[in-house]
Amino acid sequence: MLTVALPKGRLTDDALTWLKRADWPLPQMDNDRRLVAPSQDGRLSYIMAKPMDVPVFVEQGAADLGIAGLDVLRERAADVYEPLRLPFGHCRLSVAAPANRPNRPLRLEINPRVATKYPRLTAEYFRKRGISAELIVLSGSVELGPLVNLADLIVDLVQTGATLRENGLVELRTILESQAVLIVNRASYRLHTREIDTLIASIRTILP
Amino acid sequence: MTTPSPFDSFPAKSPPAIPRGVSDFFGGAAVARREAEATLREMARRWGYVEVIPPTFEYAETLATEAGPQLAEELYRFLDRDGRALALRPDLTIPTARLAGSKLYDQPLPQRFFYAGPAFRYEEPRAGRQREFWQAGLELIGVAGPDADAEVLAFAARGLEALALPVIRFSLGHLGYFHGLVEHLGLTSVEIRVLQSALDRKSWDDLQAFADALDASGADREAVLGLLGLNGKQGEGVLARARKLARNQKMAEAVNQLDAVEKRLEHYGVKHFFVVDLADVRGMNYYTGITFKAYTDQMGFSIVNGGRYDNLVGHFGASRPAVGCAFYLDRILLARVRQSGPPPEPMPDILVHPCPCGGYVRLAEEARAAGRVAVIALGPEAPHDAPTTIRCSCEANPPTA
Repeated sequence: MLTVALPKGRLTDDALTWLKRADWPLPQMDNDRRLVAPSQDGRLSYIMAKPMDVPVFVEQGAADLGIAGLDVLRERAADVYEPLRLPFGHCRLSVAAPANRPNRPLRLEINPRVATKYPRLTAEYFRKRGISAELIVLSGSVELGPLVNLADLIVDLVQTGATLRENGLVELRTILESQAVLIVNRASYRLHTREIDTLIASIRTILP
Repeated sequence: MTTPSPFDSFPAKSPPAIPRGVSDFFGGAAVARREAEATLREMARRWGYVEVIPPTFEYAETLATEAGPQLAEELYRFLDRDGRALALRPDLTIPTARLAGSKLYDQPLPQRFFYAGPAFRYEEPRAGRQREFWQAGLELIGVAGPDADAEVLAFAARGLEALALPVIRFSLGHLGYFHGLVEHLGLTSVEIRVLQSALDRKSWDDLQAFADALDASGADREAVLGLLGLNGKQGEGVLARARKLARNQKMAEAVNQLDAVEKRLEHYGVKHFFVVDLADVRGMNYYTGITFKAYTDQMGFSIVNGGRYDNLVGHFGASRPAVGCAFYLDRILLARVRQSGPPPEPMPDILVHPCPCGGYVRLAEEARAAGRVAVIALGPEAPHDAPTTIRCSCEANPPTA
């Protein structure tokens, strides 16, 4: 039996909708608190994981397949196959600053304090540009950083930009365009090639 | 047991730390590690492979030159006292190739080498990927062709069987196919990296985007897009499809070689372990021909890597075709623990109680000579659950004073 890791939260509904359209056996979700749910026919088992953890479950082989945002996949630098991008969960990882920040290039910043939930991608982005940023790693409400003078900049996911605007922030740069991705454990793919290829193919045929 | 032991009070202070990415092995884990190594060493001996013991560190330039940019980045470098740059070996293939090319160049060919020992790479540690890791492997130097390839492949498969992994699957590729396509398309080094990355992640979308950006003709485009489909078991027509998509002699030749190797794997009776995957282009840049990786249950990383590297030995001296494989012992042992539980803790067979007449020494020595593990009960910390306890007869019939 193959195990699929699904992200709890923002991506759950879209993920289930697309899996249903692709005719995958769906998890029995009679109890919302259950973290492991078999499909009705017992062919698949589903793990409900925090989005940030899905790549880890799959890389480590605790799940054979998973659906993750490209943002967390890159943040976790997970060593997995990523056969398909899925047509939902579109957003971007962006650098944002208070709207009243003087209009000047980022590279002129000296030791900016950057609040983020994405320490790896943020550190890499600033390092590559020769900016020695001080990372303030938060696990939520990153937009708060500049408001309470905890940070000069933030790096966070932006979907519509509404949250940024409400908090007086403007987007400066895009670090990464993200969307949902189907990921596969490398060894699982070798050991269950046919089943996994069938599952992948069933999604590919319904993609727009 | 109420006797206070002097060890009970440890750790008195905070214990000394050890660096990230290295481990202590003790008890059953240490025994299992040495046993796995011994299993492969004995097997290699029977296949005619003689052990080489290269140094743990060498001049950094020796290890970095051919290793490819990624491996060079992961080298542990430090300075010798004369200021020259040294590095810990990132694998044992490069030192072995150096030995073969620069010292053993006039010795009879082929040369068959076995090695085992730790290697070092500076990478983010995770389960099965430590900075100090143990490898054991083979190098078969001085022969080209499918018989040599198949010998090493068969050893890899038999070796994993001998290490008692219940589920084994090999993917078998040929870098000549990829290199042939790269030559045919005249790709730049940036384009090669993009293509390699898309193939390595099996990302159809990125491959498609690459093909679109390339603006290639019909057959070229098909060859690029077809790469990710060149993947499957025997009888699934992978090689036939690969032959159809081949755009030049080099690609066609790679398919022919794979075909020849597969036939020989059948003779060894190990072919069922193998799937062909011509899109598997990850890995060390020194490979030139067949490449392969082995996988097992509950271990996301490959447990054996190998392939043909016809240019590496020549880099250090005499030019020699060569093929080899490396077993990642840490991953194999970790997979075995995940699959079937931790290895048994070593226990003595016999516990001998000391006696006033000293006869216990003879009893212990006799048991040891017979191949049993005999331990003399020296104090309260001695193991109590040894299967057999023996005592000298003098204790039952104490010598009269």
